[in-house]
Amino acid sequence: MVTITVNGVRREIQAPGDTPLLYVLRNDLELTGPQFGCGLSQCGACSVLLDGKEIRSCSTPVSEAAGKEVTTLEGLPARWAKQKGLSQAETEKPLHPIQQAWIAEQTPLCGFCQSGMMIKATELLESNATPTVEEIKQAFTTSGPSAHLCRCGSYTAIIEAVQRASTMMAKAR
Amino acid sequence: MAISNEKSVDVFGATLTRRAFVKAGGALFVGISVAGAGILTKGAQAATGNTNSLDPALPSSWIEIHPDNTILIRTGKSDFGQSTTFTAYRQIVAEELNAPFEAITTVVTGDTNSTPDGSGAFDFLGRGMPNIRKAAAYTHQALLDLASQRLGVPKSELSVKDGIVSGGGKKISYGDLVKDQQLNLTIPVSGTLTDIRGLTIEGNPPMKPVSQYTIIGKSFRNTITASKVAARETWATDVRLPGMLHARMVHPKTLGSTLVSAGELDKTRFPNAQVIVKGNLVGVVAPTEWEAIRAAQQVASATKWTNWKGLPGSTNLHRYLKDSADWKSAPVSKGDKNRGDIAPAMAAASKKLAATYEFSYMKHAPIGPAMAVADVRADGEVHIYAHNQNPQALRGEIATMLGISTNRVVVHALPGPGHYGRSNGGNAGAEDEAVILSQAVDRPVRVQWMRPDDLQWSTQSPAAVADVQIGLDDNGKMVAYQVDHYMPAPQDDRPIGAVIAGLPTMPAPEPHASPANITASTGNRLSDPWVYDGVPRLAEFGHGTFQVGQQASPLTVGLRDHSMRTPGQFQQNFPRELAINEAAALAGVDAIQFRIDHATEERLIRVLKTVRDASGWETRPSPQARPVSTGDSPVRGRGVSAMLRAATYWACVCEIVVTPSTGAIVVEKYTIAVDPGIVVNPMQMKRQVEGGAVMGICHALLEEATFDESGITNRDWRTYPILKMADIPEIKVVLLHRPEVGSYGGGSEAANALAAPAIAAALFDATGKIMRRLPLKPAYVQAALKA
Repeated sequence: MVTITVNGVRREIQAPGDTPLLYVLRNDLELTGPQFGCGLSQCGACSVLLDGKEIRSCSTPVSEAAGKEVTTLEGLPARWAKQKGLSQAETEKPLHPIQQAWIAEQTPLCGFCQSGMMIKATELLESNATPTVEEIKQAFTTSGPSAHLCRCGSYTAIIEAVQRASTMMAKAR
Repeated sequence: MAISNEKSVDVFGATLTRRAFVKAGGALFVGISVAGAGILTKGAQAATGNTNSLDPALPSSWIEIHPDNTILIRTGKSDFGQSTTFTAYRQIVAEELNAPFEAITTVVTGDTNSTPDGSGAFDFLGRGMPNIRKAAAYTHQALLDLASQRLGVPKSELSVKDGIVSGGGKKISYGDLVKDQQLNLTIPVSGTLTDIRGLTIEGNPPMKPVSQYTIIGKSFRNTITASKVAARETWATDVRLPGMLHARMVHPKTLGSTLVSAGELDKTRFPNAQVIVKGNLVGVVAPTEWEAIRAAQQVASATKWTNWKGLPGSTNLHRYLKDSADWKSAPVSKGDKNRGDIAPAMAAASKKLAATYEFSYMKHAPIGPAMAVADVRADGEVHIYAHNQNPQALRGEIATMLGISTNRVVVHALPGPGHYGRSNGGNAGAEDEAVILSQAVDRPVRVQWMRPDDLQWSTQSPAAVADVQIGLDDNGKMVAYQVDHYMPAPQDDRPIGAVIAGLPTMPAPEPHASPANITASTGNRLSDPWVYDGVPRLAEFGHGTFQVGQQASPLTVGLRDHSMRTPGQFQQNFPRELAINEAAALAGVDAIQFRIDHATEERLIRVLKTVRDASGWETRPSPQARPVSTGDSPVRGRGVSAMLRAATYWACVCEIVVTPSTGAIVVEKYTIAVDPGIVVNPMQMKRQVEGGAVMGICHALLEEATFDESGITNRDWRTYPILKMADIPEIKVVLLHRPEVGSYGGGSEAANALAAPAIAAALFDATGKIMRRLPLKPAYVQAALKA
């Protein structure tokens, strides 16, 4: 049995240790933000944060997450609240600024890749609060196990949403 | 006019009745006509008689007006990221009703037992728009009739603002008009619910003049975006039913392999798994997804198939299409603008272009592979949970497969990855297999295709070849244009699992179906409307044939084709627009000016001038003064293309950099001008166009479904690469809002087709060398520059 912390909650996992984290999240823990895109670490639809670093849950055995902190799309509001020291009542309300920016910019088309995109944006903005367009492009193209792929072609809208989120997060500091 | 149980009111051919007074609540439901049986086709009549189909008395109407002043709309069209059902359709209904946009609180899409009209998630603002607009217009008239009666004021003296009807110094809200009553408005329809086009609303209710629009033209947000971003949406991938088993498929070894023996399951490793075999279809089910995956891998490795080699291989594709394919079997399509005597004009031309253009197979490649959950219940009713562009058509296909009535099949449509046309004729893949497996194990089954299944067992956008001839006179004017388009059957809607299992499906594409029936014909329709009306002689022909491998495969599948964004038109517009660029170069005239010189349609001329100004285009002929086709230094060029699609005029300019020594192309700037007539929602349209632009550059530079003699060889995103964020250009979108035109053009596609001819023209502009085959991969470009 593996124990992992998911979105701030300790969870004991019954599934075999070689089960990819994605299936544990989606089927056992009913956290369906991350999506199955390729199962090959080639697209980023399944991305989650593992101790703050973006990983591909489709090809990460759950045993590798033992004792570590997993953050999914569902956990972004609480992650932001914790970082800002917001109270319990305040944490229930707002979405993470990245999610708010994604809505304001009307970024998703079909939206299937966007959970992974927002996870990538979180990793980026936590390490570089004011990335340039070139830095955003590189983060989503070369910094992870593979480029984050969007088949609908929402890349322009993602760049604009990251820039908006950067501004919103700076104001909240 | 009194409205009562005994008497109905005629509303421009629709019928308004009050079913009963109700103690609380009440509503106006807008359903399809069962009374006007003369108008209904057999299919629609059958549909209305079905238990899970429409009865106007049931809440499955197009529009409902509720006593709290909220409004519900329903549409059979599912959302695939176009946002139209959540934005434009709301705006159109609110506009016709003179109600606030925000009053439309609920939008029901897709489900076959709770939406009225069927048809697919395509052409939302073309054929789909008149339906929802007409439904709203009928509703508006019915509400005015009700108000006239209640207020005692003639209908002609009433006006409506924000859902409040006023007249004769009195006013009443829509909600109060329907309060405590059950009102039904039945409107006349034609068509067949499970047909690809679904039902069409008939009649001509008065509609609001475009000049009075106040809601259409504004940038309302897509309401489903927030729930997707906040992880609150239930996607098709999220459906988990009690007792459900996970499944993975073991698809045949080749597109023509039949099953010799299914592999034996290793029960010591996979004690809870089970192998299901139906004909040549093999599936593995297990209670957990991971066991299903691993067990399927083990079974696949032990399963034996016959060998089959019946495809030409993608390296020989275009030679095969030219020399070996049977283009005689299907009737030749002729352009509706064909005119004049071509041969003498070509013979007399002072300059002539004769060239062949080649277009590769491409995959829809949704970012999530096909999946579905099916529940074949003990009473025989079949429920399917899937992401689907045409749930009613899928319902018909599943009923055919099982030999049951359509009213025993319910398709629940849920969000999922964009399909780009793959499921517009019903299935996307996996739905039929989930049904077959569920029936076999008497439990709900979830089939998830893996990435290789999705690339190798789905349909693809067909390859094509075109021969173009253009004759120019001494003044550099086109005097004759001839094109012969060659393309295999463009749409095969047979569910692949049913085909493999040997269960009933619609027929494979065949020559003598009407070419208009795209789901059955091997004919090649002309899909790219001719726009250069200044050319005096025109001859356009479409030649079709069977799908490659279709006749040779024991499974009858071959390379199954399916419409994909701008279907057929992409294959036909690429040769035309690249050839026009070449003709302009032959004439020594700037490529935008050359188009304008041959255009008569003011909208086309305006969109070309707009893209010229917006891109900072320098007026000069191509290629550039000193084209460079060798060396390591990047060379710049620019190209243009134009299209008329679904009443929308498009033009785009691509500016590229090519490195001759490597053949690598980077698109630096992409400028696009779009005139759809009425821009319903500028923000949503801009996002759609940007997305289409990126997909179009991806098609032009990267996309090719490759195959050997046995099947598709793309397996993953490495072997079927798509554009990455770092590869995108600066994109500039100019929307021309032209309400005076009156059309509601589409915005979700066409942008994907425009980039390819513009990039190929830019490559010519930069290097002086023309490349007429897509995709423009580095190896091809490098070799062509050396030649």
